Amino acid sequence: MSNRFARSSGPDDAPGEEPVRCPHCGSLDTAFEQRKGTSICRVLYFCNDCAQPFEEFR
Amino acid sequence: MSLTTDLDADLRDSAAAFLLAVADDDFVWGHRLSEWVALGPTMEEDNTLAAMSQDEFGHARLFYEYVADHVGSDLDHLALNRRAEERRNTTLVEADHADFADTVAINYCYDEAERLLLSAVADGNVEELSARAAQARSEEPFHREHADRWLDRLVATDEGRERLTRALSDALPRAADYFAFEDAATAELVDTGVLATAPADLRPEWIEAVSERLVEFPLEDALDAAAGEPALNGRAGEHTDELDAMLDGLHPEGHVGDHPIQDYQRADAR
Amino acid sequence: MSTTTPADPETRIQSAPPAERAVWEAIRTVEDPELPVSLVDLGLIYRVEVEDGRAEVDLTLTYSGCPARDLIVGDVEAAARSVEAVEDVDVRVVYSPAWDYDRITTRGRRDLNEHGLAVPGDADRPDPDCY
Repeated sequence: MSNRFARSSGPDDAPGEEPVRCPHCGSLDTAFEQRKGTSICRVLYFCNDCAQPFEEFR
Repeated sequence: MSLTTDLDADLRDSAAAFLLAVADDDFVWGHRLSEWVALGPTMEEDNTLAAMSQDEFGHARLFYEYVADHVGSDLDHLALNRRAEERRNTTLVEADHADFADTVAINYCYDEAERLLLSAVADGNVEELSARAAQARSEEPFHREHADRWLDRLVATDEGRERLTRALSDALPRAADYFAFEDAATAELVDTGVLATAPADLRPEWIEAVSERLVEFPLEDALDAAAGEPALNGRAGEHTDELDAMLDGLHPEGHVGDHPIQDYQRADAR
Repeated sequence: MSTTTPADPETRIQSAPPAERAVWEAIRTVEDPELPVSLVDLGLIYRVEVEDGRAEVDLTLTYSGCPARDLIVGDVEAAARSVEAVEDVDVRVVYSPAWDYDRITTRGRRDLNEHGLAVPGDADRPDPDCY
């Protein structure tokens, strides 16, 4: 069976269209990863600039 | 309008019974979702189902707490001590299931219905109750999107399509009791404005939405059953042995109906 | 530090009668159990009233399933009780008006950013001091 769906979330459940600013380096070149992160009020992102994951309080 | 001061005792009791059903739905579904922890089909889904479970318990609390505060009783008693015959959840959510396809089928059918019921409460005129329903409603889009994504993903393989079809044909007939509240009681709630719409009047909208979304599946019989008389009416306290077993599992041996936690204090307050 | 949010608590705090202001200031020291930010700067404290030694506080949660709920309520109660003029405290969790991110004060936003958390609306508010 294909592993196309190994990651169950992706751009299709991104919270919104607005760019999210990386709190570590300030870059807007960030990628949405997962709608629920370490808790229900966290959204998981990855910064393509400084290559660190971060969460958004949402 | 205030439930406490503006309604007579009978109407308050009707409102409480209705709200306990809504809370029981969330409580039972929250519990079933929590059973996937450490067993999810993917690590990410494990996390997601746990988050959904947490939301459901939060929603259950919104309504159990309202009943406890305004009509009487204790939050923990309402949530944890009531036996199956006292519960008023839809039988849709109580099935003990191990197939993820069942989780997706129930997620979809339940959340599509709950959206309508929560709006009937949110659009009612009991301010605090309306605010609580609106809060629950605001936390649900993520759950509906979850169901929607998985309905699409699972059909990508023949096995997925087959298992999901089976799961939906099991879930839909059970959902026949979701809106099957006793008419006389809910009519009063609508007349006094506690509810903006009677559950029975919401049912056709649910049937239409579900029929449309699931049009690609061979579910004619199941959809007919969903629109017909329920075989088992959870709204009238009719439940399966699975709910009994689930509730037994909440308590340590020998403590059913008598939750041990009587007092909760922060360690530094003692 | 000035704040510019719609439900800016700062003006209310500064103009509150002494006992209420003392309770606000006490609650201001209470941080969210999981985040190094004051509950006041998160915009979660909706109402503080003190009359005849009885303090009433209305607060909200960002999610109904917030696991820190009991801790938050307990901490707010303890903070209000610590004020000399207060003998009795009633803390209520309310859900109206619905909380939103624009209730987070500028200071709250900065504290969250410094902790490594993005906040909705950051993209419109670059803060060069943070990075």
